[in-house]
Amino acid sequence: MVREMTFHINGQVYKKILDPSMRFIDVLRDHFQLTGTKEGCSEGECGACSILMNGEAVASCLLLAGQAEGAKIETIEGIVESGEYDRLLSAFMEIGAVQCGFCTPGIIVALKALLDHNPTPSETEIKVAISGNLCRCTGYKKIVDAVEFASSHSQNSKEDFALKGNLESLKEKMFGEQLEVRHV
Amino acid sequence: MQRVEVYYKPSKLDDAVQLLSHHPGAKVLAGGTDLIIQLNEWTVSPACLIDIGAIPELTGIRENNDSVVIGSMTRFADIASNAMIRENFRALSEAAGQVAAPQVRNRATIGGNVANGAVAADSVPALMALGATAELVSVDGTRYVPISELMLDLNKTAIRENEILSGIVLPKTKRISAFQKIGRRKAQAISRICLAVSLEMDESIVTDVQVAVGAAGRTAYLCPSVSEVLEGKPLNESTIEKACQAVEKKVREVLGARSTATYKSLIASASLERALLSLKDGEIYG
Repeated sequence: MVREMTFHINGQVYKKILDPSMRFIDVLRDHFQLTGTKEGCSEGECGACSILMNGEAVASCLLLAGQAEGAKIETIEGIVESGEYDRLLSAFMEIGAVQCGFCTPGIIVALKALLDHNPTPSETEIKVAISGNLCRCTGYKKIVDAVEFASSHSQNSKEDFALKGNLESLKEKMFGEQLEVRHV
Repeated sequence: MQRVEVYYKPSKLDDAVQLLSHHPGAKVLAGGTDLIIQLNEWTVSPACLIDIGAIPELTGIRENNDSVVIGSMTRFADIASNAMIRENFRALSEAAGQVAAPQVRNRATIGGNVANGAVAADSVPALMALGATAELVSVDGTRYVPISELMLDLNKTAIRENEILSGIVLPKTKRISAFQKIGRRKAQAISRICLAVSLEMDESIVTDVQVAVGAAGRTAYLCPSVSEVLEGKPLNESTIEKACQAVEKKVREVLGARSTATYKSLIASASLERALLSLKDGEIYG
């Protein structure tokens, strides 16, 4: 049964007529065209669909629209657009923490949940934070390296890698071209 | 495609209980980390969902004179990070911190873990060993059932169709406890075995001990034969060895001719040894 629902996504309030028993990942991808959030395993094992709900990482494939209603939701699009994580995103590209890029949005989301309350995490803290995210390309080592690299440089220090070009190609990997809305 | 006909999100437990009594066959939605997978795969297709996630009285940890009550909607992330639980109910704290991964612990609830009745539910052996009781509320009133009697069979509990699991009652004792889990990897692992021990000592003599095993049989269970071996004796190399033999025998009996019997009985024994050694050395209290 559909009804009017209210969502707080990336700092904006939206109203949509939807079925509250839809999965929230389908709401994001099919009704908001926020396709940076990926669907991998559909059972909460891979972390590709991670989003932030009230500042905490959750799997959006294990969340219903009715559960997400009213909560403060942030997706990878909001995180990238904010510009606050450019250092981390660039480090991902520079250090080789991105290969196919499918897991990257979920990993960035999981890392934001960590870095927002712990800006200089230890290797173990980084590993625990991304323990719910699978990456089949990198072997994780380069991901941990990228986080350590990004957090060990202060925001004001002179950039030692090409920020802008890297970011554009990362966005292309994560968001691709706008997909047709999938019919459900 | 329409998944369910009606989705309720009551803000009071009384309302949730009324809704459940008026909608036989409705599914109660807690954190959803198990149920949503089942809905998505159409292995369950209820006409009605009752989301109990907006009921404040079901969330949080309350301390009474002789017990601690954990609301059924309390998330594993909150249990694992609670200092009082870590201090007094170490086995539960450890189990909560080892469930799946952060994304799941931020949603999954202790009530959902218990009510779902999954064979590898990590919190269940910890709750059994700690002597926990389930608080079940329905239009007929409230009743209390020990967790060790709640688990009937694979995915089957003694929770009635019109009942909502509202909380877990942990008796305050002087027990110390420990939890061990063996999976194929650290994060996101479905337990191959999970085992909890709680025990009470008088000087160096074990006066009371409970061992519970999960993921080795159709439900988790207590092992009274291990209690018999240890009670009235000190914890030393010889008594720990006998206890491990007893748990190995018990798991082997439960699993019978299943192909995993040899492996699981051996890792149950190894898990019990680790747990008892950690308690003996006094490294882990609570």
